[in-house]
This record gives sequence, C-alpha cells and structure tokens, in this order.
Amino acid sequence: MGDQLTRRRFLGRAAVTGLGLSGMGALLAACGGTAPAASSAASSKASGGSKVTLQFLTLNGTPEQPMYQGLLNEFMKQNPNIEVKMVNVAGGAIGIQQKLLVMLAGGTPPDVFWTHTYITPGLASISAVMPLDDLIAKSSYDTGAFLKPAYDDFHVNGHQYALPRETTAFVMWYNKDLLTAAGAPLPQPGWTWEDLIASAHKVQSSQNYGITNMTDDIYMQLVKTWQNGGDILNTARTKYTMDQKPGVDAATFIQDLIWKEKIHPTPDTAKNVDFFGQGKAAFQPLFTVFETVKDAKFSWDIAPLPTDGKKVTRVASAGHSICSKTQHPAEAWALLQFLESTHAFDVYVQNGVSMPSRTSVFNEAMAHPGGKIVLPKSVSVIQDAFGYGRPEPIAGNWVAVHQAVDSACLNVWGPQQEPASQALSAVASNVDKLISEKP
Amino acid sequence: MLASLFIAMTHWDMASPAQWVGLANFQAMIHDPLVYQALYDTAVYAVVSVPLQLGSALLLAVLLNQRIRGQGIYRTLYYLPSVMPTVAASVLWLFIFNQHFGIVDAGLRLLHLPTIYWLSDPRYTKTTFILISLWSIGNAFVIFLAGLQGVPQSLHDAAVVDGATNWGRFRHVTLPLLTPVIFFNLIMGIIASFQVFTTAYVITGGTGDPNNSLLFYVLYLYNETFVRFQMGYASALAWGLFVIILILTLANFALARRWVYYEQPGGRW
Repeated sequence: MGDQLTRRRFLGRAAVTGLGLSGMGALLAACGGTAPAASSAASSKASGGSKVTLQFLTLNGTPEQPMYQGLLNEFMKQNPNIEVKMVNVAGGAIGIQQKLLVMLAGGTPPDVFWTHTYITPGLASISAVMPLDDLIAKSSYDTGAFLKPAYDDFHVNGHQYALPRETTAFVMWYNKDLLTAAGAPLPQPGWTWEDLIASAHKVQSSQNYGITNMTDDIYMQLVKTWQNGGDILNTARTKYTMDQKPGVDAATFIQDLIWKEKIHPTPDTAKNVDFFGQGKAAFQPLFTVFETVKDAKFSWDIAPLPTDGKKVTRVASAGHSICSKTQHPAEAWALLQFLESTHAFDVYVQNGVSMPSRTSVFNEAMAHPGGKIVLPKSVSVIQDAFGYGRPEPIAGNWVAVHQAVDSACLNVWGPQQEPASQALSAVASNVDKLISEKP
Repeated sequence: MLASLFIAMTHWDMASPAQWVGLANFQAMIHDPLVYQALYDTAVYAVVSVPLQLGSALLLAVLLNQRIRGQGIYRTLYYLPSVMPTVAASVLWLFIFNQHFGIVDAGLRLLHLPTIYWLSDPRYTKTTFILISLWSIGNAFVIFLAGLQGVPQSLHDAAVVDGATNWGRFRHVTLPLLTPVIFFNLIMGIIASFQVFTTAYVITGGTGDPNNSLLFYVLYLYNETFVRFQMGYASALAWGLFVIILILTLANFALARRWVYYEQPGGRW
C-alpha cells in the first residue's frame, strides 16, 4: 500500500492527472469520510445551553423501532437539551455495519448505535467505535451489573467498546409431542449425538424431519468443530484451521445427517421453512430466542447440545456503542447509560427482546417470567450455557469470513456433496486474507 | 464517475483515510479468480438469456398484435410481471423451484420423473436463473408491440397482392422494418444482463452460491463494496464493467450497419 493521503494531497493528485474541478468537487463529496465529520446531524451547537441533536442508529421493525422510540422519548423528556433522532436499518449486524460506514463516509456519523459482537472488533480496528474505558472510569459506572460473558464479549484488545443489551447461547430445542408420539426418549443429561440420531430416526417420516437447522450459517459447524477439539482459527487468530480434521469431521457429520441418515432437510429447504415452528421437526439447534414458538400448538423444551466430546456452545451478544466520530461524547454517554439502565432493560423484557444481559433483570426474568419474553421449561439450561459457552474467535472482516466458510459448507451439505476436506481447504487462502484485513 | 475513477486508485474502507495505490486495484482485478468466475457466470447468462428474451418477447408481441378477443387483457397480463417488485417475485421463484415443496418438482413427482435441485445444484442453477429471467420480458414486449404497429399496412397489402405467404410477409416485410427496434432491445438487454443483481441477491442471499455458480459481476461488486468495504477495488470493478459494456455496445453499433434497416434516405444505417 502506498502512503496515507490527506484530502489536500489527494486532490492535488487529481489535479495533476488533469481532471477538471467538477470532478474534484464530486471527489470531495465522495471522500467525506476521510476527515472528521464536520457537518453531522449531531453537530448542533452543544455549548451555551442550546439543544444538542444526537443520532441513534439501530434496527428497524417491531418491536425494536417502537420500543426504542418510547425509550428515546423518555430520555428526551428527562434531558430537554438533547434531541435524539433514530435511524433504522434492516439486516441485523451486517446492516448496521454497512449503514454506519456509509454514514461515516457521508460525514453524518451516528452518535450511538446498536452493535453486535460480530462487528465490534472490526469497527474497533478502523477506529469507528469509541473505547468506553475512560467514560466508565470517570463516572464509576458499575460494569459488574452485567452478565460477565456478555460484558466480556465487547472487550477487544484491552478496551471495552460496548455495553451489552442481550446475550444468547446455542441450545437444542425439541418437540416433546413428536418425540413422545414416536416412542423416542426425551433428551437426558449427558446425551450424545448418537442418542439424538436414534430419536430423530424414530420421528423421521414423509411429514416430519428428525432434526433441522444444522445448516443455518456456520453456527453448528463451528460448535461441532469445537466439540471435536478444533476451531475455525488458530489460537493467535492469524490462520484458518477449519480445514483440519475436527472441522472436516464436523462438516461431514452434518452432511451425513442430510444425505446418509436422511433425517435433516437440504440446506435451501431448511433455510426457507420453519419446520420446528410448524411442529414438523423433532430437534433444532438454535440460540435462546424463543419468539417463533410462543404460539406453538405443541409442547416443547430445550436441552444442552448433545456432545461426543467437549461440552461447549456458542454465545453471542448485542449491545450499544458510541461512534468515535461523535461531536457530543458526553451526551452520547448519557444516552448510552440510559439505554443500559435497569428501566430500559425492563422495557426490553416487556417487549420480548431476547435474554437481558443485566444480571438482576436476567435473574428476575428467569425466576418470574413475565412480559413478552418466551421461556422454556428448562430455564436452567440457558443459565448453564452461559457458564460453558464461548464467543466466536472474531478476527478481521468476520462477516465476510462467515460468508466464505458458509459457502464452502453449502458445497458439502448441498446436492453436490463435495468432500468436506476439499471444500473447506478451498477457502483457506481467502479466509486467511479476510482475517488479516479490516472490515 | 470522475470521483469513482479516483476512488478506484485508492485503498479506502470508508472509515479510515484513503491511501493512494495508483493502478494496484486494476492489477489486482487481473489476478482475482473471482473476477473471472463472475465474468463467466455473467457472460453465460447474457449469451443465453438475451436472445431467449428477445425471441420470446418478439413472439409474444406478434401473437398479441393479432386482432383477438381480450387482446387488451392478454397484453396487460404479460406486461404485469415487469411492474411487479423484483424482490417479491424472487422470493416467489425461490418457493416455486424448491426441490422439497416447490410446484415444479411437485409436477415432476406427479409424472414419476426425478426431481431436480433447481437452485441448489450448481449444474442447474444458471439454467433455472435464465428461465426466471423470462419472467420480465414485458418491457421488450411492449417496445416490440409498438414497433409492429409502426409497420405500414400498405406494405403488407402489396406483399399479399404479390402472393406472399404469412411467413413471407413476416420475413421480408415485418422483420426488416423491425430491425431498429430489435437493435434497441438487444442493446438494452445486453446492458441489463451485465447488471443483473436483485434476483441473484435475493435467491442466493447475496452469496452467489452454490459454488459461485450465480456470482454475477454486479453481485461480486456489491460484496466487495458492502461486505468487504473495499471501496477502491469495487470502484475498479465498476470501471471494468463500464469498459466491458462500452466495448460490447460499440461492437454492436459497428455490426448494426450490416443488419439494421432504417427507413430513411440512404436505406440501411
């Protein structure tokens, strides 16, 4: 790579190469993100008691949009000198990352934004997100109020980049009615994948699947690789290792569920149909958000993921961050604290937003389920999972890493049934490149 | 466009300062196997789908240019898909071509024929995608219809007097006078086929899978932009696409002198 360009030098080179002034004007607009934002919507005068305008970037849809609007209205009532404008985008963490970078490039960065563990390290590597350490220290903020795995999920290279809103862990959901009707035993402590396959075969028919959702992204590929003693990257997170035996065995195991055991739908079918929600699958591994079965006409529960080896699962968290380019860090910190308050968490619970990561609210929700949070009978499985669960070893452009490995896995699990070692090795150089680059 | 040319000569991730890299992005394109894969996928799609779309649209236009009962209703029905939101239509196609519950494979099962993984087996994905592309021939169809109505009736009458058959009239009267319209639809079809994106994005979830068999050029460009945030490289890719389309368009204009007939002094071209 060449030398860093200031806007002046950049434009100078434009002139040298003979382009007209109009082109330079367009270039200035296009490269607005290369300099600190000067004309953010949040750049209303902060001093002198005049009103400050903040931008809050978050997800769209229900319940997120109305839920946050209600909270923001309360915050603005409590802080009459701060106006908060909400910017909503679709597409989860990827959508937020895209929008955030586009807003940065356009010179209108948000002040506070919803974030996810997937994107935080990458955003930190390009200094798009503000470290909270100083703000936390200065205000003596009680970080011990959060579930530790969730709080630590946002700790990157010695800095805290977000406060958590919710956290999830992968567990095995099961349909009690289907299993009982088929004469299959329900999951017992210490159950294995062999036990699951035996039960799934009893349920499998032209109408029902034994298990579904093993092919959703690379979540279970990753967990199964961990169970086999491997990982997607080496310990230093500098090299791709999913193509080693534990990863290859994991991908082959899932391939066998589909094509050999014939107890799992093909990836495209599993992706497009909620077989478990429709009561047509006995098992599905999924994170601990149970909205899809709140109106289920069958009885269901959860169990730890079966294992033949190491007991491990995947945890991931969402939270709130402050953009490094905010012009109003104090007001942004005030908003962030409000969104992380016990009151806000109560609102999240009332709106059914996943597992709250504030310990007191989490324990209360587990002990006395209320609001719209849908909980299984075996709540303790969730609490245990946060104990032995681990986050993904995020590095570089993690969204792109997921996409690349998922593509390889689909070649293994799809109708072409490519050998796992071949498919997983084919993406090695690309993944090595992706983990070394910024998002 | 000038801005994008300069961005193409930088490494820029939108958050960090841009770094001048000169022609490095263009050189990287030459060594990027996914560029060739994307070009291959796009070229196969263009070469097969454009003639197929033009032929189908022309056939439809000729049929619906006849004086038949309910002509207006038929014309509306065939044009309707062109104004239907592409995302909604794409989701519909996903369901239609699903091997498990799709209507196409259900039909094959009824006939005791083997079912096909239309959109998940790389051997069939491009064929399926080309078939799906016929869904949106409405625009070309309407333009052909307008062209057909511009063919003077007096020429047809003269041909009938000279003993021309229906096919003869179509071959020697209609088709030559329609060549400017065919040429227009051809150019627009080629450009559109090289810019195919939305349907591929929805059907593959943005990945171009399985096995990059639906990784069309603009989908790859999008991923470089909004998944990898390689704005410089993506701008270089965009310029690559511009040059390819420019060359194809100029080549078409050069070849048009041989087959496009303009009814004006000087005759052809």
